[in-house]
Formats: sequence, C-alpha cells, structure tokens
Amino acid sequence: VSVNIRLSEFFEEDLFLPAIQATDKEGVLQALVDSLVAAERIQHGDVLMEMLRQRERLGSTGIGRGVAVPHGRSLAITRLTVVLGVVPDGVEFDAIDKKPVNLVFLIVAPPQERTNLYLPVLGKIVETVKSAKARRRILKAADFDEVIEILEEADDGG
Amino acid sequence: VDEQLRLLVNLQDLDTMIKESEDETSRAELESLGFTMDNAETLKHARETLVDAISQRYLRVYDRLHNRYSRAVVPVESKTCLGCFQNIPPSFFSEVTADKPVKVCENCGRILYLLTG
Repeated sequence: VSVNIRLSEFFEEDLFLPAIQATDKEGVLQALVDSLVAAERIQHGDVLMEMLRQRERLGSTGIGRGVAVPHGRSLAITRLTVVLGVVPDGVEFDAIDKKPVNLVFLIVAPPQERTNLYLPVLGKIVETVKSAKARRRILKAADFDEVIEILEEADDGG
Repeated sequence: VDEQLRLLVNLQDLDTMIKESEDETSRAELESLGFTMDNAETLKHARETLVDAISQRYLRVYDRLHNRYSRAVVPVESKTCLGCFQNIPPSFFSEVTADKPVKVCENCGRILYLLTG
C-alpha cells in the first residue's frame, strides 16, 4: 500500500455514476457492473456480478462512514478498473457501522494483474475517504471534473 | 457464453477468491483496510454448489489443470492464451460451436475463456 500512486488517474468519466437509484446492495452492484458493460470494459456482466456477490458473502465491503468498496479479481476484466457510484438516497450495504452507504467505489482486476496495483489502489481509496471533507465533497460534486479535482487535491496531500 | 464455460469461469474466480482469503499477507492487508472476511466457510459451500452444476467431464479437466497450474481457466486476449502466452490458431475462433463450447489451449491445455462473444 506504500506504492506512490495518483488515485485520480484511475478514474474515468464513463465509469462515474452520479445518481444511482437502486434501493438495495444487489441493485447498486448491478448498476456498477452495467456501466462496465455499457462502456465496453467487459462483455460478460453476469460473471463479474457472481464474483461480487461471493465477495459480499465473504464479508461486507461496506467499510463505514457511508462508504463501500466492493472489490475482487475476475477473469471477466482485462485490466485494473475503478467505477465510482453515488447513491444520493443511501442504501443498506450491511456496512460495518450498520449505516447506509452513499459512496461506492468498485475495484476489479484480472487474476494476474501485471501492474500489481490492485491492493495499493484499494488502500489509497480507503485512505482518501477517511477524510470527512473529501467524502462530503465527492458526494456533492456537480460533475466528473469536480470529482477529479477533489482526488487530485488528495493526491497532492490536500 | 456457454453455460458450462460460464460456470467454469465462476469456479476459477471463486478459487481465486478462496486462495486470496487464505493467504495470510493478502488477508492481513485487506483486514487492515477495514474489510471483513469472516465467512470463509460460505465460499466453500458456494464452491460445492457450483461444482454440482458443472458436468463431470469438464470438472475432471478443471481439477487436473487446477492442481497443475493453479489457474485452470485463462482468458484469450489479442489472440493469445494468457496462461502460456502462445498465439491461438485462427481455427480456434471458428471452431467454438454449440457441440464444442469448452476448448483448451493447444499448447498448455488450459481452458480458454474468450472475453468477447
């Protein structure tokens, strides 16, 4: 996790969902996976969904403070990919603090990822959202450019 | 994608997750980030259910490859097997048919998962 990475470089505009309307965890995960299919990052959404369901059975990825970071490795994806989803109304995610989740960061990587950045990116996201200010600003961001601005500030230690 | 091949891909993903959850370094790192991984037994049960749905013929191939390589199913990307990194002959792409949905790499024998189509 000590690898020096710039988180802002892992986010893409077509993988930013500013207003997920789903009312349960399954629906949120499905919306995130659907965005990967729509953006042609994966072909077989059902394969990825099954992996994410199993990961949630292993233990919820709701890490508290309104944030969930579902993650895992799957053959369905060819490179490390991050999707950011905002759930304005909040959703039950079996989070560690039992509170509803508003920010969801999906991180998926192939089983043998050449760059070996899966865990460092995961760690950097968790570190970034520990800041209440960063969480609040991402939640209220008007568009993708603003999200990138917030992440760049975090990358620069702001 | 063929149902049996999809199940084999699910099984490979599940085995990857089980391996990661059992690896002390990965587990410690994920738990230090705040992720819980308390229900390892549920993955074992899920594996049993999944295995029941896979034909014995394919399961035998999977188990043999899994013991040998750890990754029994590998993707094909840019016409290359990502298990042994050898080129896949053009005939592979024309021969994936309903009666032969699960195909293996001619070089390393791993089950091939075509990411497109």
